[in-house]
Amino acid sequence: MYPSLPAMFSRKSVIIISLAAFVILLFMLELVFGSVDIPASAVIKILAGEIHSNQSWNTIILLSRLPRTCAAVLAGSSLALAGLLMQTLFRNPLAGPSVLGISSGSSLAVALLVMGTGGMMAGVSSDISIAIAAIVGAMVVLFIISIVAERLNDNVALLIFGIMLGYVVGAIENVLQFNASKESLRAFVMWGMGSFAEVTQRNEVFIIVFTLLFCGIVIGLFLPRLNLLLMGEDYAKSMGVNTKRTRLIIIIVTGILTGVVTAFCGPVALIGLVVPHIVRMMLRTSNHKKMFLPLVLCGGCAGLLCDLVSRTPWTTGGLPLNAVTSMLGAPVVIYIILRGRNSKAII
Amino acid sequence: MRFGAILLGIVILFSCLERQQDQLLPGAVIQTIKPQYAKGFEIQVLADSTKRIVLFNLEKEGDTLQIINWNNDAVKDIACLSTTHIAILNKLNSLNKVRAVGFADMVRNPEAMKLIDEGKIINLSSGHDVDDEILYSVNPDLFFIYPFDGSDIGKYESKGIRCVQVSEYLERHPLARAEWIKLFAVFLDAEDKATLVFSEMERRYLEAKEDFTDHDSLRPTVFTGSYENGIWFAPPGNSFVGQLLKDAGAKYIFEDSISTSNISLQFEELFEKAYEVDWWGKVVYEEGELTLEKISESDERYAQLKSFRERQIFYCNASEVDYFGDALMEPDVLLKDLILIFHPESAPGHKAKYFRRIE
Repeated sequence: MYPSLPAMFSRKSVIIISLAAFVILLFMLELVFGSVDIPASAVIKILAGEIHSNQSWNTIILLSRLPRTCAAVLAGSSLALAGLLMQTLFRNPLAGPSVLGISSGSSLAVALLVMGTGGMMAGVSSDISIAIAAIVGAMVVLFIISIVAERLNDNVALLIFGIMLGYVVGAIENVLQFNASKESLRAFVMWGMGSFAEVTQRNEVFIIVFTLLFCGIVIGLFLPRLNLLLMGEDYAKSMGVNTKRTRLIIIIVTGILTGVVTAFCGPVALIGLVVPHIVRMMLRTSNHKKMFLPLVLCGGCAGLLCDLVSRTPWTTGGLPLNAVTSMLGAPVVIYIILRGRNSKAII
Repeated sequence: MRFGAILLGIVILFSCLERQQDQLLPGAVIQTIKPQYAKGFEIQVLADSTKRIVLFNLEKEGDTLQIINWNNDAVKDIACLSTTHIAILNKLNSLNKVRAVGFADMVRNPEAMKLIDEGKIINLSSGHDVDDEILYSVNPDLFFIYPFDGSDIGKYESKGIRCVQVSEYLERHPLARAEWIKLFAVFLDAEDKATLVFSEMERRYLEAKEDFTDHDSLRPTVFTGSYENGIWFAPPGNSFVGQLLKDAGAKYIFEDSISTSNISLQFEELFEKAYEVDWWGKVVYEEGELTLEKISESDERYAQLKSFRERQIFYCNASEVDYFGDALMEPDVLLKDLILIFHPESAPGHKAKYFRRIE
């Protein structure tokens, strides 16, 4: 007597396998589809290491589409993880990586750099400088948040502090923009729209991979504590969790994930907020242990899907990434709010 | 037959009478001066020797932007918004009348910079907008502005400040942009000077112009534009840049594109189109010289392009030369710079001013 198919595969396994299949499918679609028609057979040969007679195709696949696709999947996963951590920390379903002002910190640092150079950033050697500035900006905000987190034992107060910090940072940014040259303003506005196409170099992909791996391992070690935190800080404390330290680690990990993604892809909206909800709805659980792998895969899917749509063939220059993430993500957020009014919210 | 001749006679008689009546009216147009190249304005001379300036909307064909009735008033104080306005006023020796300029920090014209340093020309902008209080304190007789925001005109004119909407930046021929000097000259009573300056400029431009229309093989291919967030933005074929490249004897890869704004395309599409293109032209704004190392550091994909491999990149550094100002009034120099790059044998002795080949 053989067990039936549903018995063999739990709901979680089916979801993981489906999401993995989706990631692979979207990954391949990203590599095959583009504004230049390159046959799938040529794409596979180039990926296998063959040098195609059409030299430009080699560069397009290896130095344009491949890093961009890797960035989309990795950034999507990173933001989804960061979003989950924030929602757990604040026990607020609408918390996301940008809520603590970390994205704003990155943006401000980039604005300072771009505006400070009077438009000189619009050209050469701008990418590396922008990346470093974004990471430094995220880390500075993170440092401030960490100090405050030490003093405030209230997550709601910390959330409000983060939002207020975001406003202050945004105000400084506005002042800079108001006094900037048109070239600088344009460069900054374009960066603010987000794009995975900015990742063109292997070392940039490696940095994101390393960050995601490092943060993934750290989160993996903390999964049981995160589950206890969901039950409330007092309960977690009673179960022996050092909530202060856990909270600090969550903040640091979120900061690193958000900072690195913002550095290379600009401030990408909504993926971090929406993906954890989709995974919770699919799995019908908030258990971090069960959510971890599906979340990483679903984040990857979201990044790839948004990038694919942003490269839509019916517009010559494509669509801004953040326009796509917002158009796809906003209905999900609205659905979550409406669902939350009618039923018991998951968090 | 006889009836037809009588009818024709009556028609001619009436048309003559009508013309005579027109001439008697002070507002009758006795001469219309249409520019040779520019499409954005025309000047009508009226019977009472005043002028009517008609400014056309270059973004919407057939649409009139503004009509100015000019009674040849004396102009003492001028305010303007653009560095290109400064370049034109400089050519007309009228910088001494300029009291305020927008984005003064962007001005590169040496004479104007001196006046700004001395405080004789003040900065009109606050952020990205005109500081109205400064403008009202200057209270200029004339204010040359962009036609971006038509509603501002009413605001200023109600305060007695006469505005002129200058859309030279939308013209598609280098000589058309320069020809706007004739419009400025009307207000400064310097029409003869403007005609002289422009005709000299035109002569030099046409003499230098390379005509390879029937010899495509002699035209090196060229591309230009800028990259931002995965998108390549390039001027269309019917633009100022497209015309300049054509006249310099080069084949611009987007020369067949027609648009009123920049064309945009995904980077990989640009990459494939530009892969075997002979030359790459850039306008940059940065400190120091542009080098191949700087370009490849910014994006390693550029190093694969033929223009990079063969070191056939030319550029203009707008932080060092007044590309967005004086260059407007030196289309012949811009052209010769490019000819020196594409066909050096055709520009012996010319010293590059704006564009130069990368070292």
